[in-house]
Amino acid sequence: MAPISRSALLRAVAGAALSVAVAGGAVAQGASKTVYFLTWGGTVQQTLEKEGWGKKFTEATGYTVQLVPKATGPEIIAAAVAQKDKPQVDVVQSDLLPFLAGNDQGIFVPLDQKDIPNIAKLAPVARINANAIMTYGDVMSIIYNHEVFAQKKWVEPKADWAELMRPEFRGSLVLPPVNTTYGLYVLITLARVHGGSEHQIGPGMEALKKLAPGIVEWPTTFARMGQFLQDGSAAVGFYSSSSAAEMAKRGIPVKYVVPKPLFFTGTAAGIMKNAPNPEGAKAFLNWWLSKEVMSFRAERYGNVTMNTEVTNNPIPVSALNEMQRIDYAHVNASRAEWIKVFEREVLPLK
Amino acid sequence: MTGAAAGRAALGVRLGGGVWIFLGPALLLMLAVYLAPLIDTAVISLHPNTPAGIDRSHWTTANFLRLVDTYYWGVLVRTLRVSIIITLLSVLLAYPVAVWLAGLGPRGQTWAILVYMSPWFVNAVVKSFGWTLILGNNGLVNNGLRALGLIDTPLRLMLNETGIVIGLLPGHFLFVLLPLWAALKGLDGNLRWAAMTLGARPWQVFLRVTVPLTLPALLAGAIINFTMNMAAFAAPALLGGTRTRVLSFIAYQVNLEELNWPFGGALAVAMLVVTLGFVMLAQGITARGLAGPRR
Repeated sequence: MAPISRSALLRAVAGAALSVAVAGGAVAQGASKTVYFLTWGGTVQQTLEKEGWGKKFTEATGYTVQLVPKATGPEIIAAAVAQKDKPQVDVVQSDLLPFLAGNDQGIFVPLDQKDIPNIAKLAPVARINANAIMTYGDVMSIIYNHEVFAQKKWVEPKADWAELMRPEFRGSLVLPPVNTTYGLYVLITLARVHGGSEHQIGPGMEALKKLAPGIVEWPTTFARMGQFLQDGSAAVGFYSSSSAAEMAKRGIPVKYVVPKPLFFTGTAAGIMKNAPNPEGAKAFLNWWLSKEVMSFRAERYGNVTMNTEVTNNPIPVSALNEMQRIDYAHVNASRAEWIKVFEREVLPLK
Repeated sequence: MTGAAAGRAALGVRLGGGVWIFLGPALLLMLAVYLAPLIDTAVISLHPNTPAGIDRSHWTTANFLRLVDTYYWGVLVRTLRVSIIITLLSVLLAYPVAVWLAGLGPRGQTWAILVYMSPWFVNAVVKSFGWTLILGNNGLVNNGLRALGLIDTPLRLMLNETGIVIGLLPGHFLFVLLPLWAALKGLDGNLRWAAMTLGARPWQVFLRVTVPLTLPALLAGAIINFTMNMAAFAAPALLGGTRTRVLSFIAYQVNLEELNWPFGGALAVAMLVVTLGFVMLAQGITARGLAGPRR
């Protein structure tokens, strides 16, 4: 190989460096028109990217939305906390519980109805605090593979949380683990079924211990739970009703029941402190809360939306007034201890 | 010619002091995106965690003391056990395959290597989902065995340590195989002939000539294999399941689900120390092996 001259190499390196710098500058210039939305992939990605709502947002406001997708609520908040000092996202949406934990770390700004007029249309229950509003939510459900039920001649579950304890489900149950938001809801639900509550979690933990040996797996995501219910290695699960409906739409042979009292799981949203595009963030949040977008979410994904102008909610927002409230602050404060007990006393197979 | 000089000659460039211009970008990148966060992780692990975030005004060793708690200790032991089992199996399986490979013609070697590389053509998550179709209670293996009347209740092939070993072995095996294959190819055939003319039987030639001469390559491969097993994430998460967590997953969970970065940092530091400890141990063995070859 012929030796390459040093100056030729240097010129090539300098040229490459310069072109990278120029390209980077061009990206930075276009940023002011982009709103970065940190939330789940899944159905939100489908809404914005595949179902054309991202384009509609641009038509309505002139801004472009760029989704920053994560798999779980806590991951969303972890990503937001990680950029606390120099945020790169504008709007954040996650499960209510992790959102509140993030809010404790001071990463969100107060939301003003003057800038985001659609806040006025939200049900009172949706106004969590100065920095957080609920966009929509889901009710929790018992999901079951009806083919397995038919095969085993099991009676289909009643709308009662105590059904989770049915002895024949041993070896066929999939429940989310307590270190996830939905897993906390399982724990609280079982505590309530057995006369406890989030303030008296013991009965819930005892119920989980009783169920544990008969649990196939503790899946952490919707996709993973769907997989176990699809291949028949599990027959009964606990997840949100909209996820259950989505599983059925994807061809998984599942049905679901929504037991009473309703267990509501909220989705919260807010704006990052020192967001790179605060004006765009307000425009996006206002648009996201609008009747058009929320009606679509209710129709397509079965979300219980908080905009009171929405007429096609699967459950009227007023029904939420009858649901049992959860002391979220207490749950967040007790989480670490509950997870500890769960990991040591419930999870291991003896 | 020294190694460095040979490297420069191969490049066809006389760099002189200009070497730093070329090393600089990679060095800066490593400092900025690897070393700095790593050091910060270690520093964070010495601060307490509060609901308002990391409290950088106080120092503590509590995060490290929590590591000896039975749960985390159990996870560490499991991670080591699974990693060592995969490395041992890889080493055992690699010798016959490498000997066979080195004996093939050039074209045959290319194709065979491609086959062994094929697990890397598929994304780790997709691969693990594929394994669940094979290993699950209603998977290929269990359904097959049931159809043959060999079992009544399904074998537990996943959601346990067996699942992790099965999921990681095919991909990580390559990293033991490749250096061993290269070393065997480079082995001077005359040495084996010489040993045989002096009366050594084939197994003696293998044990006393081939193995000692290829041992450094084997150990190098085993070290890479072991560190990859320790750090693996997707396959243990999907095939080990929630009951069989390994250290990398617990670190993820503590950092990203419990938002406890200080304790997550302590877990990361522990993992680094344990892995480095094993790597240095293996390197020590290699160095000793090279200094005093068997006679």
